[in-house]
Amino acid sequence: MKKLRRIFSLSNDEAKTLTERTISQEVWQRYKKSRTGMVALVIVLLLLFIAISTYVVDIVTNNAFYDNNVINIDLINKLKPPSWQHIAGNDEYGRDILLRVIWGTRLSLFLGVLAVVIALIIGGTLGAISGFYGKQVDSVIMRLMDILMGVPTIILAIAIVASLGVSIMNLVIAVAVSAVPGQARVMRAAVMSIRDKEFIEAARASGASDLRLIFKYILPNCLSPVIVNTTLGVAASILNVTSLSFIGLGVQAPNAEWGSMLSAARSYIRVSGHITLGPGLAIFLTIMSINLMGDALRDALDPRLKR
Amino acid sequence: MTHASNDNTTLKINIMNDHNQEILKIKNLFVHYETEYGTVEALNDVSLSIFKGKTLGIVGETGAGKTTLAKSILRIIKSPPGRIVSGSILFEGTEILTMSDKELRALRGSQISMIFQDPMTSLNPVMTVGDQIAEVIYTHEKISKKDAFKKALDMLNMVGIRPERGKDYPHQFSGGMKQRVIIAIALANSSKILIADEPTSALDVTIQAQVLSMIVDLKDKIKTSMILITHDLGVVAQTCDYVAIIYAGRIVEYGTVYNIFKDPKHPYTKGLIGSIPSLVYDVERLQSIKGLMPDPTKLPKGCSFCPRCDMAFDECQTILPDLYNIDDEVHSARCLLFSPERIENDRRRNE
Amino acid sequence: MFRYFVKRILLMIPVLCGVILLVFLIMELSPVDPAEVMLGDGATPESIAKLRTEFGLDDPLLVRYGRYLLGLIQGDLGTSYKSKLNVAEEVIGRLPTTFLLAVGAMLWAMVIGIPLGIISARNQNKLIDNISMVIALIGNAMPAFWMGLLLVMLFSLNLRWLPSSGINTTDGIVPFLKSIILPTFTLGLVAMCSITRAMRSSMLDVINQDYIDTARSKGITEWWVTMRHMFKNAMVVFLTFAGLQFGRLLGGAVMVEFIFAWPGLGRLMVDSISSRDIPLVVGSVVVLSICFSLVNLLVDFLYAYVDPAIKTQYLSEGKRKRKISNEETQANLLSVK
Repeated sequence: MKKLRRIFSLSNDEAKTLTERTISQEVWQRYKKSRTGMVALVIVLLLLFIAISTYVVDIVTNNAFYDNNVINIDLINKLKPPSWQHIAGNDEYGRDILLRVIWGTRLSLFLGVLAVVIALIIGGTLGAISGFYGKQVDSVIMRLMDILMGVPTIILAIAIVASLGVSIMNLVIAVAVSAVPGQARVMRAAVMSIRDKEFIEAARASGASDLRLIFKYILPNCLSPVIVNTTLGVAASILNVTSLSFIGLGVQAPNAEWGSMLSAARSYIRVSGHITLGPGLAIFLTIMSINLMGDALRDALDPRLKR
Repeated sequence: MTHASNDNTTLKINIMNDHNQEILKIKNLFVHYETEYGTVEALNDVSLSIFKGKTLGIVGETGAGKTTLAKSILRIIKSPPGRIVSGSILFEGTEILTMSDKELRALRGSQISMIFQDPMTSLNPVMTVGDQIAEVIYTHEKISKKDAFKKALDMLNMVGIRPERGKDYPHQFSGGMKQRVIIAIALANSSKILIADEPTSALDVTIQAQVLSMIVDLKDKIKTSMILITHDLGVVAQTCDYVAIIYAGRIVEYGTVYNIFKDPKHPYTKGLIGSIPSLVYDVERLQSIKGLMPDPTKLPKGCSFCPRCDMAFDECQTILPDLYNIDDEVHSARCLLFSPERIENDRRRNE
Repeated sequence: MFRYFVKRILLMIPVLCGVILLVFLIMELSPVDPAEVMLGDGATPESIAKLRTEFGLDDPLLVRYGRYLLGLIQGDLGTSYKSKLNVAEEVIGRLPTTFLLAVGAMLWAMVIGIPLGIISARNQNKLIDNISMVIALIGNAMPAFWMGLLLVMLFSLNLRWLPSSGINTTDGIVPFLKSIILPTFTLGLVAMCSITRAMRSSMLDVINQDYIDTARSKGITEWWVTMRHMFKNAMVVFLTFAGLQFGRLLGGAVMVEFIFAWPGLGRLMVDSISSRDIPLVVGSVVVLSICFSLVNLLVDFLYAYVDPAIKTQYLSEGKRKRKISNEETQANLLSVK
């Protein structure tokens, strides 16, 4: 920018407008305009921070804090309503609900994210191959995706956990597998829309190999719809993880996880309804923020679609 | 900035053509759009008359306000953000701008019809063309839908489409044929006024001539008055009786086709006519009018054409001209060069 | 039209076979031996082996799959390990209850969602629009199981207006209706929010189209413009979306059935998972998937009926559409003169 100023004797402002901004900076500028998007981003970052800090606390206190406050049993405080000491109240074992919700962030959030990342890697690759090569490869892969999608998402996840057994790893596998076709479809559509554009033909004509075409030309241009879809996919994933835990097929007690907390709370709603609020609110807030973030991202990445 | 309405023009026209009935009279119309970038002054102090059985051509660049004018007559401007600020539009003596919804609906499609610019998007994709024509018929006439459909098929025939195609959907027709369907819709009830907003601009050049001549023939047959909006001066010369040149939301010149083409007075009109390539003379460069139309949210004080005008002088920047009558003919121009004072001064100077 | 239907059905069948195979494969991956589960703790290796041969569990996968398919065509889905009951009977028996739940939810979603979407679109950015969009956002993010709990706490425990579980088919119409309100609403909530947003979005796409101007210039009433011109066009895009929603509802039904102790197929599935009753699990998943595919098929047909491009393509079966030649056009125009 200083160069521009010197060469063309421009003022500071004029130089600024002429300076090229990278795409990420442009997107960030547009994203900042959405107030809900910024609030959502703050909340999501906060959640991430909370999740990470639980790990830190565990390491620092050598799990002591966790043992004493998150998974302990303190029947004196059983089912107590919110108080100054325990802001969200106490659950059926007397544990502090707020602390359990905070520790639950680890599992509910990260497991959801992990599942989507796996789905993106597998599904995205399949979708890209399918979109790029087309014809028979596309037919075969899409048939497979159709078959996977022939079972409603949650039911597929339930069936997988039912078969493989209840464990955290199986939970992630199940949710990931059920998310694969969604990711594959979006990637395929994005690749197909770029594949036929002329600059790809031009690159091909100058001798670029398939691999180079895919990674250097096509994929970078597919990012927008994929990013948006993945973000929204995280929300869906988290919902699936908590749902499965709720039915008892996910995270087990005494691990702190929002879905299983709600499941346990269910038996006590007649006497102490307040114990449903903590975990429920956490799930709601997380999903809401991620959805809002996804919407704001969509507007920021492609302003032409803005209504 | 002076703003006076000039009734002189209308008066002169009435005297000249008192056998012509005035069927639509637009007076001092102001239409603005409130957008996030400011208030777009789309139409400013527009006054026009349309005479029975005659065609008025409205010529202007894109963005001059032509479509806004057309839509204002039928009051189908999108209401936020558009707003008819003030003025009057009299149809056969009745004020359109104060009509109730019911009266307005009785007017649309039956007394005054409109043909839109882009035939590709002006037809409902999920209704058959026959139904779309029939719709305008049974809305205004007390007949059964079946009979209306039969009449619709007659209309299709009249515009040169086989009646069997009445049950087909718009996407099955080409652009030119779609436009003919739209014309059929517009003329189904033998409206008194037909507003044609650039009816051939979106069509192939080869089809343009056909569609245009069809419009003119049908118009003569049904004895409709027409407002033809276009940017094509050739079309105007062929089909119009009167011409109004519109620039930045104002009428800058008005007159009979003969007067305008023979002796254009306003510098803008001169520029437009001058930029038509000649069939007779060879030229090295096409003549063009330098500059761009002003930003409608920031119209200049004084004459809006001033920044681009070769003949501008000091007063042009501060005084907004009225439409001054030229030589007592049906011809007026919004230019200070023709203001009575200036003509007086010139006359005195020559003496 | 008929050819279109047949084509779509034929396409559906291999996918369904694939789905059933998929379910088989998933069950195949289980580390647990169903024979062991059936016999319980005191099983000897010999008795396990015997049971396995009896049930044909040692046969290769494809053989078992083929057997299952054959049985499926004849309406036989096997026998439950635990209860020794006919799987097909149990599953089909529970299907209507789940369907009732799904249809009820869809009704909530459409009856509230569609009009709300239309009104929001026509009043874009005004108060009603902003309110409904906020509600849609909130409803979308609410997990069904939490919503269900909250509603039960409010309406069953606190206000005592509605029952908290089960379906009441014995006490008459009003108790029946009361027992279905909460479950159907809970399930329908997410769909309701998605439908509102989708309807609004398709309407907005349509509202600014040129043919709406054409429609208005004909002098028809605003109501007519909204319904006949805007709505009809918005529906075309909207239908596919609505169909997808119904599919998701079938999945969500599992959760809602769990919360409200609703005696449907989803509940059966979850229960049989805990009792490791493989045939029942497989049977439930297969039947649910078949329903899902059938619903999608139905949506495709509806779509063909509504979208003129598809309608015309298949209506003129065999007949090639004649394009009017230039000469004909000219001849027609001359006749006008």
